[in-house]
Amino acid sequence: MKRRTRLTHLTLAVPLAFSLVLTACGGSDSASNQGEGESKTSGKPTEITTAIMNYEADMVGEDNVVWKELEKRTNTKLKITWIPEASFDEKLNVMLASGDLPELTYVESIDTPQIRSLISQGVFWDLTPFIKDYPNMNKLPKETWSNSKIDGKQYVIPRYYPIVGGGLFPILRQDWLDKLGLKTPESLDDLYQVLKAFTEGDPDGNGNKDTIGMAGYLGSFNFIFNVMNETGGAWKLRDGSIYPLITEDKSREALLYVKKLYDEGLISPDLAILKLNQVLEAVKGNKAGAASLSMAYSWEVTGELRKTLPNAEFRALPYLKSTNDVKYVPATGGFYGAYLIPKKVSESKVKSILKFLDYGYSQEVNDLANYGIKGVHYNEENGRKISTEQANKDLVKVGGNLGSIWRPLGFAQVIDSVGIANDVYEQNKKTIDERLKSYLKDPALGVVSDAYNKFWPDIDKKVTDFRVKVILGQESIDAYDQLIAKIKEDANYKKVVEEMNAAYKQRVAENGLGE
Amino acid sequence: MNTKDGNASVPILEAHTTKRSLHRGVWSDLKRDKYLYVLGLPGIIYFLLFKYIPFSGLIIAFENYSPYLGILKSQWVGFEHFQRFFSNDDFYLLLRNTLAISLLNLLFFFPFPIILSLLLNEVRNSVYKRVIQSIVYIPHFFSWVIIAGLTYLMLSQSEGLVNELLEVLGMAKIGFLTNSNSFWMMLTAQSMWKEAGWGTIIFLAAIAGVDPQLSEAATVDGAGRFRKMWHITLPAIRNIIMILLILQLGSIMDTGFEQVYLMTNGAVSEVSDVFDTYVYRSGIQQGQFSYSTAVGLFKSVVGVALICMANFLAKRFGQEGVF
Repeated sequence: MKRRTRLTHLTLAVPLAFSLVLTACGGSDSASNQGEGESKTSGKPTEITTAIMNYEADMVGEDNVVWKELEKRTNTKLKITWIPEASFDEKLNVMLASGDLPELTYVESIDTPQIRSLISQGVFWDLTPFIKDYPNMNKLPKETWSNSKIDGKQYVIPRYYPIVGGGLFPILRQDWLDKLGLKTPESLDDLYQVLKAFTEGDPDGNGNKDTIGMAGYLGSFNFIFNVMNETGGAWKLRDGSIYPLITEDKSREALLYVKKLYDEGLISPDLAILKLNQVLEAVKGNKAGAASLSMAYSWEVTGELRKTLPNAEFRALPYLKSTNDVKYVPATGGFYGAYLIPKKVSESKVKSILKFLDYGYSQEVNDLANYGIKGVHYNEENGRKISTEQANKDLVKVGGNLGSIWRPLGFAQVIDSVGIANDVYEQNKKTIDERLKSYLKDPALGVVSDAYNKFWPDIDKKVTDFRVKVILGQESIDAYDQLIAKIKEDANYKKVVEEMNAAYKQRVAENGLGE
Repeated sequence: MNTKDGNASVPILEAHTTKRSLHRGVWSDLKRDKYLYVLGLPGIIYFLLFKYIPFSGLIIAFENYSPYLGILKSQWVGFEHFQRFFSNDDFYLLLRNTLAISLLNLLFFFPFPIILSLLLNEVRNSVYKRVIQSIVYIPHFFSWVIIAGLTYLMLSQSEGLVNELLEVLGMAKIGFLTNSNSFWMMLTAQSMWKEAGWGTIIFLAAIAGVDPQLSEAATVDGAGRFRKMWHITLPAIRNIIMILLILQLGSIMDTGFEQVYLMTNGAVSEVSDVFDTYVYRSGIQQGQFSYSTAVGLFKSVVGVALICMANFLAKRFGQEGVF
């Protein structure tokens, strides 16, 4: 389905009934071409209808004080429908199928078949000619723009996300490491030793063997496949062609590695049925010494633990090395999610919508959306923003609620959190520096094909499900080898690989994104 | 509707007069029963609006539907999606799983409420009977989410109650939820726990309608309780059982989406994937609207065929059918 792993994760995904009533817009197309950033706009506010994914459980409404301030500063009237993360795919697909798209359409991935086919049918504006007029947007990193191009054109406005810091990668109990006299693991062998010690060395000091090395569900261990294959994403670049990771020989090794962890009881015994919430419970409850999460979780978990254990600390790993000393850490394309504008929106309104998005990439409006109002929701101390109690009350959240429209600029969203302790913040900064030197690109970023959309989800699911069975000991590794051999001979598989390589070469030619 | 269709076979010469008399007949019927029709109107409108008009959307199973070209302009591909589905290895897997889950339901879940209501019927203390009835009804009102949550709480490997018990007793923990051999039985057991009590309502009502003189006469003749159950109560409610069985057969292709979707995981997906979850995955999650419509249409056609067959057989064996 989605080639890149989700940046953060979800709870038991129960599709909740959620009305999709998108208020029709009484468009007041007052194109406001006033100065950037802080606006002294006159004229009627522009009404903008949109539906955006929001990770927060308490979703902010339009009577909120920050919402009002945002509307005032950008001279808009915002009609936002928040969509919970767990049901976003369904909601978006229903919207796409009905043809009833909001004026500002948010998508989580620009590589899905539906979006690509709608773009090729000319449903959305090509925004390439407009973008140069918006100074704040132009300050976004180059790769954010180049990675979000489709057929060489800018159909989407990428929603900025730092290139490293997201993705599922281990965070480890530093205080447990110290106590057991272990170093931060650098290779998978080190990691194995650490997880073994966390399980058997009684790191919580209660005399019982009641801890496990790492809590996780199946997707939590994907990083092992990437480390061993020495690549980002789900495809491996070899000799100028890309190959799916699932059928690579190194993936077999990775699978056996996970199986070893499982057989020795170093990871969650019910990894097949766990969800993010149970994983978080295990690490917050002092039961597991590691989890595979995006960096932003290191404070969420540490903060919870420190209520009872003042010395506890979860630290994100900077990288892991393969046996050839190639470092790996997950990376994004410099954006997470993107905005499109349907052609039914008039050109003058397109400009005002772009203007609105551009405001959000100015430091002031970006801070407003993510941190709230200065002096009310946060105070500046030593160049850092320290959130107040009021921030929680007004549902201000870095990267959530109104921060879902534009996530924070820079690295704030992966290193900073509300109420974060100074030592953790400083450590996060160091980890980011290290990660920037270690990440590997996803060679297939932005590469799609028809056959891929049609056949890949089933092939991928077959292999993933089989991996679970091998890990649980229900199937042998020989049976796995037979399955992989059979898949490699499968006509649909061959077609996907062929088409994907053609698309890959085309994209390289267009964007010059070589090795 | 039917009366109008009937006109087609009437010779043209007579058509005019027949039409008028028919028209008059319908009109006077309408006039006579106007309150009944008004009463039925919301129902008729509901069925037209939400059940029959959406039928037209089934066309997209035969085209490459694109929302922006619309139903009328999308490319027509005939049976391509059906071909793709039938030539897919997964088709047999889905069919097997769907049929297995349904047949297990038919075998174990269907007779269970009948037995339960026969037993309840024999309970003499009415307070006790009511309490039991209420208790077995309650799970019907729980949503599947809650039932699934309870099942996880009881059976999960790391903290499930059953596994904790096994551990205390010195036995090895069992991965109930990831065991593909017992997955179908687990679904059946869940359905029985949730719906058996509710299912007794109809049977208890039917049993209440059995003439008590029959069983009194049998008592005089010296019949015991089991004999009365077998020779009087069961034959008396046979029609109800048949009708419910036919309805059940019609829904043999529906395994219930929520239950399977909530209980599935990677280790059991081979035995848990059914038509409903497949349609959800390929249609709603992956956006292959036409393909998933084709799959859904296939499922419905088989369902209709089955219900017709069961109805025919029931009549053949001298029972009352549903239609």
